[in-house]
Amino acid sequence: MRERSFVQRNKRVSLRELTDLVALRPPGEQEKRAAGRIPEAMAAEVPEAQVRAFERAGWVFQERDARDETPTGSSRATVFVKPGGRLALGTNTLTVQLQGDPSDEEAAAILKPFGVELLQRLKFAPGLFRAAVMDGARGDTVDLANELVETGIVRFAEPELIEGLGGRQ
Amino acid sequence: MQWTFQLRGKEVTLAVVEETVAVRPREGLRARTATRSAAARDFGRLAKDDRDGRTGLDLPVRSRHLFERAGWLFVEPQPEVERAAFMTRTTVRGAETVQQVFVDRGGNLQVTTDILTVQMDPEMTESQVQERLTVDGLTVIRRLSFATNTFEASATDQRPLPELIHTLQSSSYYRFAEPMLLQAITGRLKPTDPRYPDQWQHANDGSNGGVAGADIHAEQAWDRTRGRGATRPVRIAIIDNGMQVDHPDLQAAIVGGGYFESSDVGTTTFVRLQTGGTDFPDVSHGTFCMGMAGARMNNGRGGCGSAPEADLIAIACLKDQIGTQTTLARAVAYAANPGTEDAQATVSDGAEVIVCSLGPNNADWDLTSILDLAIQSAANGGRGGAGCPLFWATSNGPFPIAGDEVSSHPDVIAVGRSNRMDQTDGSAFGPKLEFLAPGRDVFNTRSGSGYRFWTGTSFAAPLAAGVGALVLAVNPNWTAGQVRERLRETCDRVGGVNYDANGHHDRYGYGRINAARAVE
Repeated sequence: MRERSFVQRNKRVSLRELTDLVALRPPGEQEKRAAGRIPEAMAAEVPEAQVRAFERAGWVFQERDARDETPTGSSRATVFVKPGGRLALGTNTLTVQLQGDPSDEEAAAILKPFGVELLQRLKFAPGLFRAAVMDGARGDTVDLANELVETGIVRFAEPELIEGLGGRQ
Repeated sequence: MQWTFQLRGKEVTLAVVEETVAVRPREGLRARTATRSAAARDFGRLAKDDRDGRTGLDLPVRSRHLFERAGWLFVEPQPEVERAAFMTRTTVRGAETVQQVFVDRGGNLQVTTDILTVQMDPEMTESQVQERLTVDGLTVIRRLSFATNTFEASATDQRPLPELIHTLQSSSYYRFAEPMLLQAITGRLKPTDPRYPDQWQHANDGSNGGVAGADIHAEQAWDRTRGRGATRPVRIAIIDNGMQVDHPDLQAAIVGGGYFESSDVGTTTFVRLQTGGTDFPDVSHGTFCMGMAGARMNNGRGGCGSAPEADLIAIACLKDQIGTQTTLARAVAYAANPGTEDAQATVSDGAEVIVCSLGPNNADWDLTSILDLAIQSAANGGRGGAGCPLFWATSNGPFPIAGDEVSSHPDVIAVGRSNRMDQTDGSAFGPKLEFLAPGRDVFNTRSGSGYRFWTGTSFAAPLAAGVGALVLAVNPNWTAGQVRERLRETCDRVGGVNYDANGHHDRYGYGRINAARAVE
């Protein structure tokens, strides 16, 4: 277990990384699986309903040292718990808003030294991009979001986290 | 000033609407006189419309609009127009007729005509009747054959109508003589959809343990508008996990949209809604939300939505209910400006009203910067800068709403749920709760082309969004802030609780939304 944090809307958000676990998602359409045993490290942190919601979306959770039986090409994600016991999965992408409104080329040049590459410009605000952590970068999205914020070249940099967003019924 | 006369043997008093007359322009001129300047030139300054929330003249708004739909104008008259209104058989150039305006005890407009109904003494012969009518300056328009010596008549000369009525009512030759007054008499719109009686959210008759009137008062609102503006229907964007876009009660309403397809972990690609396409994510929750806002009325199916003539934009994201706030942010931005995702679309294809019922049901939900920007962009920059009213369902749990940074965002209208007794139904509470709307055991569309009862703030929010669309249909130039303010101030303060000095209560917000008052 590792305590992490990053800055979100000028506030520091705490994350608890469940380092003993990994989330895996086999490629393609998912077959319905019987509800599995929830790893102990997770059961103590997250309500079962949340875990089951992720499982229905095709994610499985297992100890890092367990024998990996998921098919080749499965997606892997870091397992985090947000304050309030909200389960979140780390991706290798982040959202950044650069100062000013640089072109795509300028933005790519600004981010490349950090091991971050542009994925997509988002058009509803200036300087807004989705970006990905490149292989060999100095850390994961949480590390790089913190690094980018510290340099002052961004208005914000936040890791994209996968969370449960179902209907409020 | 008042006018008192006899009606069926009883004294009736009508209040004069001061400095106001009703003009019915000649048919060919009605379009021209619809503009303020032309009307002012021809007849007098037009009564202010209610875009600023009140009428300039002391007119009941709803019945005034019904008269206007029938071709009447209400003006502060020029002198000759005022004179014409006061006298029978008198009009002015360009007008079919000019009449006096009154308000009855019930607050309804009454407009005079040049016609009166009279019944002469039944013992009088035909010639005696004719002779008497001539002496009194009346000419018969029509004999009413269901009663003896009874006629529709009009004056043969120019006289003040009240004076004429008074003279006739004082005469022993007349059993009665009554003015024929025009009133706005409409059948209250009651949809004919077969399951409409199950939709207590629109009109609660008190059955099934409910309280009559514990509803959004939709029927009175629908007399005024059903979501179609002057030039086209108001567009409501519904953001959800998915929806049945070919549901028979929704398909005709849907004018655009798309879905975000997962292409990698956390990454999504926008796909435009295609007519006849089969890949659109279909989730019953979203189908129900669509129905609450815009299911069609009087189509022989199910029930209807609160804005049954509004258009719908279907936006599906996170179809397996797991995903990033970035995708949700893109969906919100797309709703206001489809050009942000779809190269073939522009901001003019965007929605006027946006609603989303996604989010966790526990106490806390942190807001990312990306979703914050999207909300700000839609709520303030949508509709060419007027902003899109953005409705969001609160958490269903009895948690402080402040822990949910999305529905308590300053630009979001946070909607909780009420039950059929006009009580809060246990959803999130606090200063940021805007108001309640029916959300317990409400009835509407589900996937599989069917219908069901369902409970959730998820369904209160699109019901309220439909009311927002009704407000914009009658006030198309209002900002999102003005719509929000109107919805707040017209809520019914239900629940038997004490609202604070600002009219707010932590568990009721500003009350239960009232569509009828909102569109007055």
